[in-house]
Amino acid sequence: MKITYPHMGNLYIAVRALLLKLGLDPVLPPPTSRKTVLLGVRNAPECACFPLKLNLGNFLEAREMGADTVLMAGGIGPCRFGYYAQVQREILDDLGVSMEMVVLEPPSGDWGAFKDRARLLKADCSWWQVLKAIRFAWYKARAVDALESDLLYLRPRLFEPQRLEVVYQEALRRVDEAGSRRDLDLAVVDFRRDTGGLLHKTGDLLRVGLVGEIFTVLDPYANYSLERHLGLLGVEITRNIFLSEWINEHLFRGLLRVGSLAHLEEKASPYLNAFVGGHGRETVGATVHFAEQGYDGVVQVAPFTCMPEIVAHSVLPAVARDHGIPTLSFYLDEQSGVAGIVTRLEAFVDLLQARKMRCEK
Amino acid sequence: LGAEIVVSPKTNKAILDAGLRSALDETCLPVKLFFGHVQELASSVDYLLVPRLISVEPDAYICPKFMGLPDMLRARISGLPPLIDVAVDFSRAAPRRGNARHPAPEGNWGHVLESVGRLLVRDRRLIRQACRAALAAQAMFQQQLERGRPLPEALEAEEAPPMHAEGALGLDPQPCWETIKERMLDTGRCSTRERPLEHSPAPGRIEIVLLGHAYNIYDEYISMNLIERLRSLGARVSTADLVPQAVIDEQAGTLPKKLFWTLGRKMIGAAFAFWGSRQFDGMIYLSSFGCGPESLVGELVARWAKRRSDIPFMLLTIDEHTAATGMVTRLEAFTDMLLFRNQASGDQAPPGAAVWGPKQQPMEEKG
Repeated sequence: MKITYPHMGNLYIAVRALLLKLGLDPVLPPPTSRKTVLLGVRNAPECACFPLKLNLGNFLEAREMGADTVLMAGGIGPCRFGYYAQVQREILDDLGVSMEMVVLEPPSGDWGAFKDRARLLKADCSWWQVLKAIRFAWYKARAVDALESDLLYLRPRLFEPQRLEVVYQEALRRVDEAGSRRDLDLAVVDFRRDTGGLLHKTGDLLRVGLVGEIFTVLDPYANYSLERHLGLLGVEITRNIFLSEWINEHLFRGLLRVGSLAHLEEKASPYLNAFVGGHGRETVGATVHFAEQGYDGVVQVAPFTCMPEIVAHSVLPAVARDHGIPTLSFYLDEQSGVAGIVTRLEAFVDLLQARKMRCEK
Repeated sequence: LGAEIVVSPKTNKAILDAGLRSALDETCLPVKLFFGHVQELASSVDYLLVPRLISVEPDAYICPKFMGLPDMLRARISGLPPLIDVAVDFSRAAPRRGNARHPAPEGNWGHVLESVGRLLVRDRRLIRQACRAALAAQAMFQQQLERGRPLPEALEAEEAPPMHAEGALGLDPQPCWETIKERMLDTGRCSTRERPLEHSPAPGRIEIVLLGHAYNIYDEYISMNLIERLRSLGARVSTADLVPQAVIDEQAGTLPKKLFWTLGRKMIGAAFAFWGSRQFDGMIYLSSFGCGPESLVGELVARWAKRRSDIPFMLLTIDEHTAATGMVTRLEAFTDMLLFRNQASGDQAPPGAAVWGPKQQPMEEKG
């Protein structure tokens, strides 16, 4: 069984660790590229959201590399993500591509079905080994998150951001290859040591919160490297969600108490008083949170036609008005262009800068 | 309960424009229209009833935009009268969402109606009476639909029609589910047995199944009078409302994974049911641009329809820029195609009928 899975930012590192520890044979699709997008767009429904198209492109590229099984996450709605796998299976069927779909649904009462799916994956491993594999993959996800949050902090502060990128890629590679927790910790420690030696700028930076739909927040291809562009413009970004939080919430149903998003749901009231699927409520809550923390602005990203984020975006003007925080929303799909995004970011940053100077006077 | 009810008028250009101005560009057409209707009413009422429709059945939602509708209105339209945004959440098996201000109500309509009633009057007995009347009226409405009375008339009807009611415009009686059911031969989406549609309507007459969310297909303005246009092209139109809920549940239950959108389930269940009945010539799916569930559900239905050679299928997408001419052209092409298909397969063309002028017949019949 050669098993593949879609890209979502650096998710591949944790999933590969999990599958390898389970004794499976993972086939990593090539990094998302223009070709992936074309493959996905050609075969996916026109109005489906961007991640579905990218996933599909990933599967088809992995197929070329010999994969025969797809590992996907599921969901219980109302966000469309929960039905991705079903639609993708039908599309692959129609294309005459025979790939088995293993869908990890969040456990919801039906433990029998959950166990069946898990058994398919665990093969000959004992449950204890499975548990260990999950734990190790979890540590990898945490290590990646540590690197990423450092990256967001350092990027606007260094004189040589290109050098930082090299060190970061090297650290990611080491985390990916690490076979033990000790190697993992060393990779992170070395990354911090190497970057600590780089020359830092001093002074006050603009701080911007990044909120929105998880896939477009985490995946640099889907958001056209928005974080990097902002960082190079001298803006420090804080994300409201990291990979490990998504895994915890989506697949472990929040069993692990790390960085829970529950407090954001409360903050979303009175602007958004109900759960709207996806991360719509968290987007609004996080915007309020960033405003209270004195951030200079908030950028929201979402795939085009993303329902929860459209609801969130609809109420954001009220949040911006009451809390005096500028917001900028991006809807991304295969039609977006880097130049347009960068231009809007530059204008936004200019406005934030002017606003900050005026406030300080 | 003694409240005066003001209902917004039928959709018109002014309402659509007001909606376009106030709603976010990215929302779908129905939401924009809703914004328009709200603005139409805002100045003339004391309270505005905008229920927060979260879920009307266990483990399924309507759509995220419905769930956030009252919040979106409050954030984007100033000078609104107080909203009665009672939450309708029957997703009992799903984790309870809801907070102190909007507690999740118990899972039935009686509770929802009562909590609205309590805002208006204090007399509990009166409220309960009103609730009973409301539920009875709704049940009557549902019955009307299932017996084949089309929507606008079904709303006004006072009592249940006989089983085979006279259809709209004095045309043939609308097919009702009881008659369709008799023809249902097999169920399930991808039956390996492909048989030609058994229904052989009168020459020059075709049966079309129109799928789509009720707020799209029955809105004469945004659907550009689709149903009426189809009728004038000589088609008899059936919608998903014809299919009883139990059949929809049964048919949609054949999906490998339960669909978590109520309206999506209805569309898929109805599509399967009609495919099973084989009592139609063609199927049209009307969806609105930017509708999340539709983008996947419509795709699935279209794919499954395409896999079989016996189901002519057309997916129509509407938004505020759709022009009537484009729609009419496609409808004409579709109905013409169905007519040719019928003539070719059944060889029922009346002698002397011009092959290239099939539209004359329906026109005459209508006249």
